[in-house]
Amino acid sequence: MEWMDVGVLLLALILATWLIHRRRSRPLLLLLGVFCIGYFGFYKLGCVCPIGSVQNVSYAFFADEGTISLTILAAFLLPLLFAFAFGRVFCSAVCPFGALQELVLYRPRFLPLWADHAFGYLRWVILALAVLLAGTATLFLLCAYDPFIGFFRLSGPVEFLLFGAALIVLGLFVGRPYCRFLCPYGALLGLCSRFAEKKVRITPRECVHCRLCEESCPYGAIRLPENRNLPPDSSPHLRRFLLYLVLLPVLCVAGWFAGSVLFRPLAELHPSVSLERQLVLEEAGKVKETTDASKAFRDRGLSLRELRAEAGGIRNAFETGGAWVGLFLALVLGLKLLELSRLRVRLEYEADPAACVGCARCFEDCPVMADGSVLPYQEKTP
Amino acid sequence: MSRFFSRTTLRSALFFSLGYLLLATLLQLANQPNTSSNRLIEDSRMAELRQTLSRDPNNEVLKEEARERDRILRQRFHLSRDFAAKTGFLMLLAGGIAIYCVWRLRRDSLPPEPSAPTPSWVVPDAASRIALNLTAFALSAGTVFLYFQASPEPLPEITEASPQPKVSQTEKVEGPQWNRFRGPEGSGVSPFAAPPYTTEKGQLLWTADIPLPGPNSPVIWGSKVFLSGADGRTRAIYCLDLKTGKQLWENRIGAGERKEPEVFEDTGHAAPTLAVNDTGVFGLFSNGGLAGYSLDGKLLWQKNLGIPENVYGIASSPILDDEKLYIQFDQGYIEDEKSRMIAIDLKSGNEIWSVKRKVDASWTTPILVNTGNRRELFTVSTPDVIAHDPQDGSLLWKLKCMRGEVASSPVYYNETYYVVHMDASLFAIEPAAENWLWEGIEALPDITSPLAVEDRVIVADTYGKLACYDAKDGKVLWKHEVDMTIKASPSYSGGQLLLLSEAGELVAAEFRDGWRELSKIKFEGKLFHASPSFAKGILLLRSSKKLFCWGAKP
Repeated sequence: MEWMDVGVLLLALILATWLIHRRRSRPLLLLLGVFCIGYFGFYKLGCVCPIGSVQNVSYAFFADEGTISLTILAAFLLPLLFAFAFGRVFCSAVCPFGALQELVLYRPRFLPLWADHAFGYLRWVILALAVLLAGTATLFLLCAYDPFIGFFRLSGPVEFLLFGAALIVLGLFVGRPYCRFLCPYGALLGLCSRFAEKKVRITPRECVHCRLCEESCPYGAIRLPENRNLPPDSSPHLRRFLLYLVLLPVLCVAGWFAGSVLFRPLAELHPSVSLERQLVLEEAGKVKETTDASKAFRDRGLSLRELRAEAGGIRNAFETGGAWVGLFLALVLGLKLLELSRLRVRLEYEADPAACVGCARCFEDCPVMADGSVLPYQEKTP
Repeated sequence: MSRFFSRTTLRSALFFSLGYLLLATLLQLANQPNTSSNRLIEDSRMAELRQTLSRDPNNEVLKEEARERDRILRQRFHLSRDFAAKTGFLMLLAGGIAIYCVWRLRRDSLPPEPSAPTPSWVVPDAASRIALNLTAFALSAGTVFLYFQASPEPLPEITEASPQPKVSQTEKVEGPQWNRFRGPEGSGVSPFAAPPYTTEKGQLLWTADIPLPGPNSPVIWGSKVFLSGADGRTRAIYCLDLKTGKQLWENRIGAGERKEPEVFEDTGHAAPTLAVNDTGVFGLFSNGGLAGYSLDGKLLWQKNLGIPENVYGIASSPILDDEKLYIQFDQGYIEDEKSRMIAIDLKSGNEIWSVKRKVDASWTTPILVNTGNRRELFTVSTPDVIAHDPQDGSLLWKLKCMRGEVASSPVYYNETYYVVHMDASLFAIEPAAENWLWEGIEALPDITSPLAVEDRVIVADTYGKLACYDAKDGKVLWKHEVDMTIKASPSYSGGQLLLLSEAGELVAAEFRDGWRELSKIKFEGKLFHASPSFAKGILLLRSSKKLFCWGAKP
């Protein structure tokens, strides 16, 4: 059955790719989104989920006892491979979370670009923490705090249902808040999409600079032409770029050391570490109430010394893992700053491959037809 | 279509949908506490009852009240969950209607599209850089704040209790051990001094509760007993002290498909007997989950072979030598070509070799045999009995003789293999022979395996029919019928034939020249499906819930 899900995922990805790159049809894309919400959301109850599979991969890769099934590995890799080839087609309509937010976007309000960059950094933070916690066999963070799964399963803790509802209400006015600011897999897909062989294009032929698409993207993914008419003075850009380039290693080293210290307390989330704390506090008489776990540990006659050794190992793993997380986040920050500092020359209106989720809204506003002809401007009538 | 719903209809639908959403949200919030399973645990009356019962465990009135309270709480819990699910579904429906109404109302009142202005959100990259830096700074500051606020206090120094007395992992184990299904040779013959099989001289030394069911037999290595249990969702390997029956460790097996395989009730989810040696203990479960643990319970490795196409569930036990674990993974039908024989490295869990077998699904356990000039990994399946080279899995020889769904494992005695199944016959086959030596048709079993000892081959079917053959020529020496349902294979210990009934009656008998019952011991319990296991002066029997250790009175 799981292989069938992978098959459906593959078919949906192929269909989405065709609808975006060949048919350029938003209505059909919305229809596919409804199907994916029904199948991957309500029928499969949100599993297998490529977003959550990030954790399975981390668990299999880093945890001692970690394993991963081929189907989950396939669910993790397929959208990434498609992103490498065609951009974020998974986000367009295949991901039930994305499709749900796409459907509820009622009156889009455009966020400034700086807000996108600023809040979008959260995705990398969540990604790093999810990998750290899954890789140490502590917690599957993304599953534990999934905002939408409660809707698909028609049950769940009230705080997460409220969180999901809040995201949906926000999503009525701000395009896809979860995808843009919280989804760690979206961050990976965006990264892969930068290198896509066939990127999403606003116009099927040459851009006529009509400016009709400028406000068509509620996700702030359309980049305007820049520096196209003059050879600009590049020296301020170059100086800033070199400064950030020099600072990058410093930032990474600082991130490494800060991460090794600051993320170590997260080890307390691990069941063995929290059990060790409880048992030691009980032994020292600092707490009187026992827990089910501590009682079971004593009843089984297990050795506290061995548990303490295990907990020590887990804390060390968090120290090392935390250092890598710190380095990673510093690197992401540094590279983003470098990206924002370099001189860009853009000749036409383009969809930013990292930010574009392939919703196909801009296709409808582009007057250039596939054969190169241009439609005359017409005001929309009620 | 555009006039199919009037604006008044759309507005009314929107009004009622939003009204329902508001009402349902309030009801969901009010209902939410009841949908938590913690309610069952945290209920104050139940807590009181638990405390009172711990002081007065025999108070039947309190017990009855606790049961009734538990029933009510569970009923309330399920009703609340049901309500939440149904209301949630209607909320989704109402939400969809509301979205549709809003979309239609908005579409019908769109103002003319303005000419495209320069959007206000076009700002220089500088703003993005500043915002990004501020975000990173805020996150860092927040993390530092949390670090100082939420960091746990250092743990106090304590004098650690000395570790529980445990058998050292380096315990020297010498001589043969009952380390796989039906003992070191897979023959059901105990090489150890036998305990007295009478209630006058023998006694129950200890019993141990086994939390999860499984018809697998216990295996023994030195002073440790290992066995497994599973219920489809949970799979575990247990280690007990042979002298006391005290549990030394328990490990839950993580490797597995999420899907619960469908199995026959008698087979269950932990039918394969474990295999153990100095390297560790290794177990296979119905979902194809396979795991190895060191003798002191540390995970060596785990993997999943996939859920096999097997109508009754996996029953073939893994066997081992010093380096490899061998798994007869027969499944589906011969034309499916899905059956395999697999060898796995004991230390790493890596597959050393895997060969396809053109056979149907089977439920038999292979045996490793030294025939004098080579080692053979001998297997029984339908339609062939097959000998593989344990080095690389290659086919040494095979012989077509079996039919049906074979479950009886082979035995090797005096340079002859003995294989049997109810739908075929009892066959005596010499290694690499092109035909069988002799064939018998009396008391053919469908589950139990034959016993070959003292120049005799004994078979027992499920309904208590017994037959004893001359091992050399297949002549039937005697037949007998006992009033027992037998699912555990016959064993040989202390010169006696041992039969164990499903109801827990252990019969010791003289068998050489005819059936003569010597003694009978009744063990309390039911579903004694596991074949007996032996150590020096010790007999281990397993029921559906307990492990029994029988030995001599002091």
